[in-house]
Amino acid sequence: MGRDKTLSSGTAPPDTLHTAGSSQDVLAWPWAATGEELKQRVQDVKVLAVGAGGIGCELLKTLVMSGFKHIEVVDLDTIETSNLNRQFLFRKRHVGKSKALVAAEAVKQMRPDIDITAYQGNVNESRFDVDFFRRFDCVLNGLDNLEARRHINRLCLAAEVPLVESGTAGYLGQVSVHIKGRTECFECQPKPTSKTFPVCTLRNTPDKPIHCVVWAKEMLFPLLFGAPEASDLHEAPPAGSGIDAAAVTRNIADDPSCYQRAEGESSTHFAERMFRHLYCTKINELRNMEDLWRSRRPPQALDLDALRMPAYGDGGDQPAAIEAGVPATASSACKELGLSDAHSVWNDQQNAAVFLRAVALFLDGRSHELGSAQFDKDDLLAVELVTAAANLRATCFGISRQSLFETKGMAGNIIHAIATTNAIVSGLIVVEAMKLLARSFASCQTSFLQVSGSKRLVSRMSAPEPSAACMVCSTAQARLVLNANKMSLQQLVDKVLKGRLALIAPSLWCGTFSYEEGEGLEEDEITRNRKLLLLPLAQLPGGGVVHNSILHVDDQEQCFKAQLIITHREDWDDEQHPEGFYLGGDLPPALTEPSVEAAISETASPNEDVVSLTSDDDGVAAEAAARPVAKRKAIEGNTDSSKRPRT
Amino acid sequence: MSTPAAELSEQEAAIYDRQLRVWGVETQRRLSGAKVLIAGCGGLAAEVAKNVVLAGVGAVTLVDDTPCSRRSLSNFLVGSTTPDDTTVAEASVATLQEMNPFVKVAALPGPPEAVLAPDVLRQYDLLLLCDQPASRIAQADVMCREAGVAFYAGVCRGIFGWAFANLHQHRYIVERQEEQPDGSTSKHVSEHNASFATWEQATSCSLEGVNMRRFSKLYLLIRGKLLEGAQPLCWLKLRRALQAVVSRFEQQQQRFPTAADADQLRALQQQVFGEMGVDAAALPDEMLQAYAAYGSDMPAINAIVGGTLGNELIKAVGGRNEPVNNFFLFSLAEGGEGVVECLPRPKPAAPAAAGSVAEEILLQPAKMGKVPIRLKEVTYMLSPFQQSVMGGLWKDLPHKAAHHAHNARDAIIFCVAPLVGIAYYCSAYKEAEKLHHRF
Repeated sequence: MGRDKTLSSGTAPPDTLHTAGSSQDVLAWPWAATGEELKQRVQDVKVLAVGAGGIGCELLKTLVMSGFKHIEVVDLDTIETSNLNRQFLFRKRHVGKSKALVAAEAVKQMRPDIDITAYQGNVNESRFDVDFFRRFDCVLNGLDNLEARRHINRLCLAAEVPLVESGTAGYLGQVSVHIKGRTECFECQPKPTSKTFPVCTLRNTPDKPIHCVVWAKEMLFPLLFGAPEASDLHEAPPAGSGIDAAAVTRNIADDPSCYQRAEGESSTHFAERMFRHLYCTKINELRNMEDLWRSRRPPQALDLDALRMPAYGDGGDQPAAIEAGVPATASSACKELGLSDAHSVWNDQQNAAVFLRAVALFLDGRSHELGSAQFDKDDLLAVELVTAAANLRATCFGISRQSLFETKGMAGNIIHAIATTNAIVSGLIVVEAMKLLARSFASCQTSFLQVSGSKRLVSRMSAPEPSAACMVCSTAQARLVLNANKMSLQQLVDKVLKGRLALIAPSLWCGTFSYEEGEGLEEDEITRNRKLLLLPLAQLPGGGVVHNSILHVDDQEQCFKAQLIITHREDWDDEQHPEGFYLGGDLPPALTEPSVEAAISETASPNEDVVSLTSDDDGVAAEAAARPVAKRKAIEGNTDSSKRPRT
Repeated sequence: MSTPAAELSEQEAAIYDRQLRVWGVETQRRLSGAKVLIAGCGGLAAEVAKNVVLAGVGAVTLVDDTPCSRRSLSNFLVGSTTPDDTTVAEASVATLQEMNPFVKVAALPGPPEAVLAPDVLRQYDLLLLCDQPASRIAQADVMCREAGVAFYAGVCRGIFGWAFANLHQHRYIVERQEEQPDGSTSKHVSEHNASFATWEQATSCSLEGVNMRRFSKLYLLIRGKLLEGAQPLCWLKLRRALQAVVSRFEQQQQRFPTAADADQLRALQQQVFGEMGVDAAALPDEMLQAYAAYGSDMPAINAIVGGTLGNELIKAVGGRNEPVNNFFLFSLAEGGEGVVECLPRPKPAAPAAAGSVAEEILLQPAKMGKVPIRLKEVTYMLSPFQQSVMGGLWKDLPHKAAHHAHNARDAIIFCVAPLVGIAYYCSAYKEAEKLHHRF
């Protein structure tokens, strides 16, 4: 479709191809992909790459090689050893440095003529606001977590910048395009939330290896070395909270102080006391609660003396450090014990030895961390301790044990990652970005990488329409530019909300400040409102409505909801904008004006002061415009019928 | 095919940690024993070389004596400061070696075709030809079969990219994680054997019975026989014909053609093809335009095809997971899908036919590749073990209530709503009845 348009609309002489207006032309995809026109656009645009990790490195390389000249990249992380197998812009010597800065430096080496800016920072920071995003023609995501993805999605919606989103896990991957009003936003489809385990399963009736790992990592580890209040292990519910729960927990709840090292207690002794407490006393307590074991196999307590490693059994061959209680400097219990293979599963004796040694090493070697230690997947000693503790518990409950390697993956939420998948995904992202630049929105697609053996290793689906039910993208958002020090609330309500947005009884809130109009207000509320109306926006209570505030506007009567993102501007040109404000975005046009049809039909209105419906399908715009009208008619219809009783 | 190396060192284990979680220690050990030869050092070769070096293949050797001054600009391994007289192979080797010190990276002297000697080939486990003409691919395919070396070829041109695989006879395992009814997972390993067709067979086989509408046009372009019954056209001749059209356009117009010049190109095509004795109808119109920009490759497509080829090379030497048998075709002209085609098409009734698909040895005769695989959406970066502990019984009660209410939302809507609705309707009806009688 798009192709026919370009082909029939004649040819522009080549020397005028990169004038300002032509960047709006729809190019014929995919034939334009290697054409001069698109090449020129690729050089001119500015893109933001979010993330310089697995996907990010590949993406920066592909972007630079494809001819993108103006690139900015944001990443918070620093480089780690386990990144080096796929983040090929980094070398061993870079470990510990900022990913964004090193990656930018590396691609600059590939093409010195590019203009690349790197930011080491979290995208949630306030400096990466809507105005920051508005500077880009396209945002390309290579992130590793859901929160940041959601945040970027919302900012891109607010800034009306198209977003190319991506993700990989092992051999699988996917790339999708999110254009406001045209395709669904990232949050139109519900996303999986993290898996939670009921705390009573973890504490009393584990039946999977992961339960034991989470118990060791989230409950035991903070209790032994971290902040005890962070653990749920010894928590007792308030009294009178149901008979069953109380009966169960009366037995289980115990004094957190027993997990603290007593005065003068040696670390080895403490470790043994903990072992007996956790795997003998506590397990026997649980076993005595017969209600729990009617349909389950009851747990078996472990006997420490039977599990001592043969070499250490009589204490004769025990390393001197253990015997003498000399502060240990070693960082690994496994190395001391000669368990070098991370992929083998330890037996009970080995687990017990690792547990005892790891606890002792932690107490002696890292006493400064006690009370604030946090589990980290790259902390070898912590992983060893969690592995051994989880395996011992698994033995008690008859669950299969896991190797150190597996446990590390489970406890650290490690995502499988390989370079090839990231490379393919980076290629697909750049293809989508080029489609966006060619303005060939109809060909935008969601691509999936499939497992080997599929008939299609890369399969596609055209980008879905936005979901009307989406909380994020279906609520209208608009940018409101004004002088917050001059404009009063009264002016805002009259000129903007009532005048331009045609609201009848607007209510608005911004942070803790709220304002309401309409019938049914109390006398004191009306007097309060009268005072508020005279104040300039910046001086309103609750911090005021200032630059980058999000003003939530709604009108119950019209079922209208919108968010106005405030941009404060001091140097206001009254001649250009005599109304004292400027509103841009996708809001439905004012209903009081008779030119609703006109506004819809001339879609790409050059005058931005008129609420523009640019680049929207006519149908979508018409529907949006018609919504308040239909609603009002429906209300009228209701009142009519209620007044006229049936006879 | 390769001799597995000894145990992984601690350093290797630290660097390869994330990929060991994908393919396991055994595959990693096989990888570190493999020797890979890559001939041709353009953008595609750079992608594949980067991928296999990062994966930890034992040795990677590059062959291409093009001086850096005339290099393909899409080879990102060659730095901007490299002296012009070094060859691209040497310059790429330096970067690759830095990327992964555990891999032996080397360059052989001579042009890419220098690898086509049995003595050279026999020293390697796998040969990859990048961006080489069809005649050379055919020659290499024959020599690799004789030398018992796995063979791959990859070409990226304009908006097209494809790869060809010939592993001769290949044994591999497939590991499946199966969820048991009781919630635990068990690993299920099956062993398979696949035999591959030669390049000759794959590009001259009959296409009888193939649904041409859904068939990859790119394959036809590779094969040079574009439509059934049209005049056969070899890849090289097609390239020459296309270049003739494009260069004539450039001579006449003094500029590079763009998408807007379709009509003029079409007219030129008629003229040039007529002179060359080639049927112009054999070439779909749009393909011509795509080839107008033939001289350049797209780095994005290099990344896609290079990533896939990287995966295939790892599968081939690792002996794990089903490899592509025998074409991978990616074309933006056909919707940007990466299609796998097996040619000649396997005959379902005669498994003994040359170039038949994977036969399952240990498993029941459910044919691989016949099982439709549904689209699987990646759950954004949530590992299977993503977890958080729910607070104690009495912590955060409002949130829990909201959570349960949300879970039971459908139940509320479907069970409670009709009851309330009926009750409301009845009372309203009674009221109306009353009013009706009153007046």
